[in-house]
Amino acid sequence: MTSADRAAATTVTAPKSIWLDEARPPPLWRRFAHHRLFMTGAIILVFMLALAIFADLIQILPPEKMQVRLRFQTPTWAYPLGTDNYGRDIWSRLVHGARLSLIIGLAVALATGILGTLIGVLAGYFKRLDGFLMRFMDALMAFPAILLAIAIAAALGPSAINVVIALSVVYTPRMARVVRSTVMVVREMDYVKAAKACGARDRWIIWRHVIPNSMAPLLVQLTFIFAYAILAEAILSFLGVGPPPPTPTWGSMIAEGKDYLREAPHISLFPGIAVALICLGLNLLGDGLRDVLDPRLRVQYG
Amino acid sequence: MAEDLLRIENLRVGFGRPGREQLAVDGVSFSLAPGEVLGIVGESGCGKSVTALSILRLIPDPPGRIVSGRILLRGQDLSGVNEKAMNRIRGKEISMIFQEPMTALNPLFRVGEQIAETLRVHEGLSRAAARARALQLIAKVGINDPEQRLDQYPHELSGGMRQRIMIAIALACGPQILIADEPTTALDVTIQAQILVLLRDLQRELGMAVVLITHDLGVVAQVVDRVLVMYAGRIVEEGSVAAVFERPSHPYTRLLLESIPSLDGQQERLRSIPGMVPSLSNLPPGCRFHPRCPDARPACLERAPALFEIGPGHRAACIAVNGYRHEA
Amino acid sequence: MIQFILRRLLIALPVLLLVSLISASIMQLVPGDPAAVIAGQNASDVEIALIREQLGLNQSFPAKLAAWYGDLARGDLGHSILLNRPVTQAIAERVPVTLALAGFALLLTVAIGLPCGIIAAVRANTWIDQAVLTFALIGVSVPNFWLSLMLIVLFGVMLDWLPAGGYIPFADDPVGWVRCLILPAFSLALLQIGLLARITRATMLEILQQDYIRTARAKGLSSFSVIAKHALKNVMVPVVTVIGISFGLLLSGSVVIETVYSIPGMGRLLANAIFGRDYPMIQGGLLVTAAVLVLLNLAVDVLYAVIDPRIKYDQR
Repeated sequence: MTSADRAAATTVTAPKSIWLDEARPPPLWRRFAHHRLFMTGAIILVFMLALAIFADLIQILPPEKMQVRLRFQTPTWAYPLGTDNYGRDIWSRLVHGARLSLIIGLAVALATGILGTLIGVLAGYFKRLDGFLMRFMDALMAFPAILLAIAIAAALGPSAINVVIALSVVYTPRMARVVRSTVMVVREMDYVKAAKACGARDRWIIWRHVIPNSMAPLLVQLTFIFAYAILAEAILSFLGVGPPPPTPTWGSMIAEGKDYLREAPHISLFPGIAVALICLGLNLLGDGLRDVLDPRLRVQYG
Repeated sequence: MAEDLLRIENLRVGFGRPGREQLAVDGVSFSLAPGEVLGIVGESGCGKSVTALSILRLIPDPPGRIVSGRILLRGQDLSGVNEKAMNRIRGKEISMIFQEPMTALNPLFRVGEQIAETLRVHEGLSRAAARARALQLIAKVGINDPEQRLDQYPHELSGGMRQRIMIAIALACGPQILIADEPTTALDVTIQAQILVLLRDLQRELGMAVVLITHDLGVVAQVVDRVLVMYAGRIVEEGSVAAVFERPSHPYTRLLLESIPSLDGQQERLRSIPGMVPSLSNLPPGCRFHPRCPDARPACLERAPALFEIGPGHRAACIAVNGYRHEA
Repeated sequence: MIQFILRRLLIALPVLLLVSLISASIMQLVPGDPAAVIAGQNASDVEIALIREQLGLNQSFPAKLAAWYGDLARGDLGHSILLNRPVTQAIAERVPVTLALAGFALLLTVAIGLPCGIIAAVRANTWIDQAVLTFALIGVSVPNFWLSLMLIVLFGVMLDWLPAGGYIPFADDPVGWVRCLILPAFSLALLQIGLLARITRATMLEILQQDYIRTARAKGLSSFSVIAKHALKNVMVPVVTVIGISFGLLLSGSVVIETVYSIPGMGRLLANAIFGRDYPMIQGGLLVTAAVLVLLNLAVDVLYAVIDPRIKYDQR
């Protein structure tokens, strides 16, 4: 095993009952509801989603509307987050930026989830495929994530879809590795051996036994990838390889404010807080998911 | 009694929030004379391990805590003692070995080093001197080729050998009391016998007192002088091994002895004790054993019986015993 | 041990091969004609043809690949279009800078993250624990480039304690070197600090439950000894894992940080190359970066084997 394997498989162990009493554990939804950090993260996420969905309703001005005479306004009643170097209302741009960031993040998470699970299951279940697949994943992971993303996004051209493609390529190996470790453990479980003894075909075993029992780490990792994707998209936009103007993204807003740090730091301040906030919410969500679904994963993700 | 090496008085150990603990050990009292081998028997969950760990104050707090009672080592109350003084007792006056030799040794340190550590900490030996002593100890616990084993890591040794190393660590500083918590349970049967013989021989040679905790009555019969039978946090019977094995008085003890399959004699059906050990949160009223007891009667629900002397040094806590009186 | 290292190298080779293959193929990814893009909109056909010749775009892919590997064997990574210098030379100048930045950041990560994680675990469920967890959570959520900007505003503009950017080589002015690197290193390290603190804490909590810790206590070792000697060594195994992951994240993050703070390192070199369509530089730079990461991971694996004697027996 390489250190990367070790990172992914630190405590994926055989399931043992974690309930001291013979009494049944409370239903799943209640365990989630009682987990304070999870609920905090969920509330933040729902709030951000609401901002994104209702952006058109809660904006003060259309995000592209420039008001040259009202440039660099500090936060006031009229413009709660101030205006930027073109006099555009930052709040309105922020909520529209939420839309794009969330869509991209979600798209990356879904694509990574599907591709990563596919590759991870194949590599974890079929030993002959493992070596070849994992060398390829290792090679992709050898490139620093952001560099690879920039390279791909720059090669394909600035657009939201290309950002999604680039980030999916970057994060799929990481997801595949996690799924692979889980599958390798589940593969050795007695119920899989029992199914094989009954003559079940591989496809059935994978679909009915392996995948359902690998869900917990998968979902937890997906949440974190969602957060990484939003962060990465902000970086890509900041560097200029993200979705092109006039669509506002949080990253490009921070970039625009970069030249006016002295006079108007608030231009960069608020979009950054937005990114930090949603990442915080997603991290809390991921932590909570992991705690409820499988506390033994703690060491793996910190 | 003044010669008691160790005396436990009314020990109560609980888990949970202060004021609302569940008692794993509920009013246990016993004494240990120098050189005596005491066995504590009972099913899983009866509180025997918790009792042992409490003697050395090894129960993590939270969630566990000694709620009340005294632990007296040569007359000195250990509950008033601070952590630093307690550390001087652990490993030196009282040593303990545990059930799982596979995980009880630190996997990243060599075996000889783990023995030498005790010697350097408690007896101030130099590295070289401690290493030499460790070598002697490894030989003493019956491991062949001690020079080679000294520098090996735990994963290079078998379970039986690891348990021998544990014993070497425990005996390194010549303790007066050795507490052995199910030392053979996790080992293969043949190795079990070897370890028990080793423990018995070492005990005779060094004259130390031993508290042997086990759920295996066969082990008790081989090694132990006196035995305590525990159930659901309380002692239900105590006495010499001869007395308890030949004249078991508490129904639980009798059922335990009957459930041992015999190799000689007729082939009968295996007998087991019906029911399960009660959970701490759901203890039955009165005598804790009555739901599973074949001799239960209505009076058993009213009051939990205290230990009553039924013979010289032989006590049992059951109202069905001849001439039982609650005030004993 | 030698066998172990050799076995690991053997596994690393196919990965390196794939890495070089991917690097070499980057140019093929670009839709359209790379030569035309480089030449610009007003270039004549002659100029475009010249560039195409220069880049070797007229050769077939296998021929190009052979030429690429041939050059590689001689240490020639090509000629940078933007900088008009050999790629190897440009990289050699920038690598020490990025290493300094990443090294400083790694130092901060271990110096802050490790103790915080340990203390949080030992004092679990107290206010110290909550504080560490909160700080770690924030560290993991905050975008580092934004933090850099805010730090520049705070320390560079408002308080004027530290320079807002630029780089002074250590040889020229050691103090200045440190002052230049504090803010960037910290921005870069914050995410790793959070990650390390959390993982250390979780691992430590697990270790403290282990039987061998109970044995150590039963031996009468002081609390300090138990943690500093027995627990700590066991914590190092996953910590080394995190440090290995951190290398990749640090090199990744340096791209943005170097851009924000105007530090002439590898990250900025590569970023500019990507934007300027400097394909030889992109190829060479990506290859070097990835190769360094693969070798660093190899070093981490060896470090594992040194710490944990069980690893050498692990045949996988």
